[in-house]
Amino acid sequence: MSRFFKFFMLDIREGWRRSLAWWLVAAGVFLILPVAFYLSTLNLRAEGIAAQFTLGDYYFNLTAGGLAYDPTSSTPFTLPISWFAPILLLAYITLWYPYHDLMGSGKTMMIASGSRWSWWLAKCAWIIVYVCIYCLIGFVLTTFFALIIGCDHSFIATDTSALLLRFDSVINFDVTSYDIMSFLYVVPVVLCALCMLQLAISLLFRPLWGYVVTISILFVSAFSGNHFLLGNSLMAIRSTVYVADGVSPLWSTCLGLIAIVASVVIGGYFLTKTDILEKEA
Amino acid sequence: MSVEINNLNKTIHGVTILSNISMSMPSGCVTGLAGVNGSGKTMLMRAVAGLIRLNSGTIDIDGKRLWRDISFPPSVGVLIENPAFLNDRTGLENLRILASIKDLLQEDDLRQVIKEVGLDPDDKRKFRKYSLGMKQRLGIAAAIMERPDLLLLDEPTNALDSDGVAMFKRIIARERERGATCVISCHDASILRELSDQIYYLAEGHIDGYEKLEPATHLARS
Repeated sequence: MSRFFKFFMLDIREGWRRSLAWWLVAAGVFLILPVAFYLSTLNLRAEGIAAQFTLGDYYFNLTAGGLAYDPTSSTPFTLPISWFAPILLLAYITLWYPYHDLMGSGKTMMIASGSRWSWWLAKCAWIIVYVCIYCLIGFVLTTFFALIIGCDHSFIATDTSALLLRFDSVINFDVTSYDIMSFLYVVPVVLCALCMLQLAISLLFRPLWGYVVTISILFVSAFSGNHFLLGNSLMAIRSTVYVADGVSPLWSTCLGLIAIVASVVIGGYFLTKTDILEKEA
Repeated sequence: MSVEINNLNKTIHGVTILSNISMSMPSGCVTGLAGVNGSGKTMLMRAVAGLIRLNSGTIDIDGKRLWRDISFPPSVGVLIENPAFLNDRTGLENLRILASIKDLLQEDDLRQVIKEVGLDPDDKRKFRKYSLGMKQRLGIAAAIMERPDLLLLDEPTNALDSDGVAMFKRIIARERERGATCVISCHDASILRELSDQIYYLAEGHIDGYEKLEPATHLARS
């Protein structure tokens, strides 16, 4: 166990040093998104629609996602970039460090520790910490900005934000703060699942393959509302909190936990059976 | 620590890398691996280090079977191909991090081993600023610092100047005296002949020759 903690503490320290610039980018993204939302509310006011926006509106804007492709609808499918980009950024931040560590000094330390599992579990724990920090940064910066511009403290999104995001025809805003929280806590769980799946693939095959799988899952999720696709659990607009036929937070939690456990166990098992050789990224 | 390799075979992507390798490395013995590039020396080192799985055959380390009883040799120092360190850390910081896994060494021990390989423990330059020779010296320091029972050194004299090679020879002679089992691969046969008790010649992944060196030809002992 002590070997695990030694690896873990080292990962936190070294991973942070190597990805500092990307964390600054993440902070920038989490400032740009609420600013962009605020600017769009100004446009709405210019059109004569007066509304008091809430904290919930800003969280909704960050996590809303988009509507799935509907062949019967005349509305063309639109990729929800403001939902897609922050998740891809997190996936990128967690992509390279484990691989570079395994190809570099981590290999020597793994031999010294006598255990591949300690190294692997430390990387999984590192992912969880990074996802939590990432979500916290997003939450804190969004809250900070929303409070600065003087929005209402309620967690409940207003129907005006649905109008703004063009979800007004499908969405149910008869929700409580508890409903909102039940969706928000799912986000880090599912992000952990996504990043751990990526970690397993990137170490067993190649980092770029892991990233391609992440992009594919998110893209297909945006396109299709299938509840088994992890990306659907990350979109507020696909959650039962806001739409009747959405993905329930309980389902998302179970799916996320299953994906996490499967990634940890299968990834760890294969890591103990695989050759540690330098591969092209 | 003794190492016994029996009928080791390794294939990667359908290409035979190691074929029917059997060798014995008694405790306290210096074994040389000679061969041209691509002959399988590095892969054999990786196999003994526990980094690659075998398709067939066994590696027993002090009677314990690798991949069955143990994942890695229990007391091993490795330098395989390029020394792998954190680029934005100094040499001493890198050794400190590596040593933190087992926690066997004090700060003074780390400083001492850095001096031993001819580097300055107070050098503030980051690893990325090191010359190739300095990187190699730090790699040797990392391999020997915990006084392991088994040393796996792949092309350890790469990029070393004549002083560095002399330093390396002294270290191997001392490790041998201490009773460590050393496996050294090198394309310079004269260095191997000087240091080794036995040399296995590898060609295209199989053993092409074996030489047991007589004490009289063993310059390191004289």
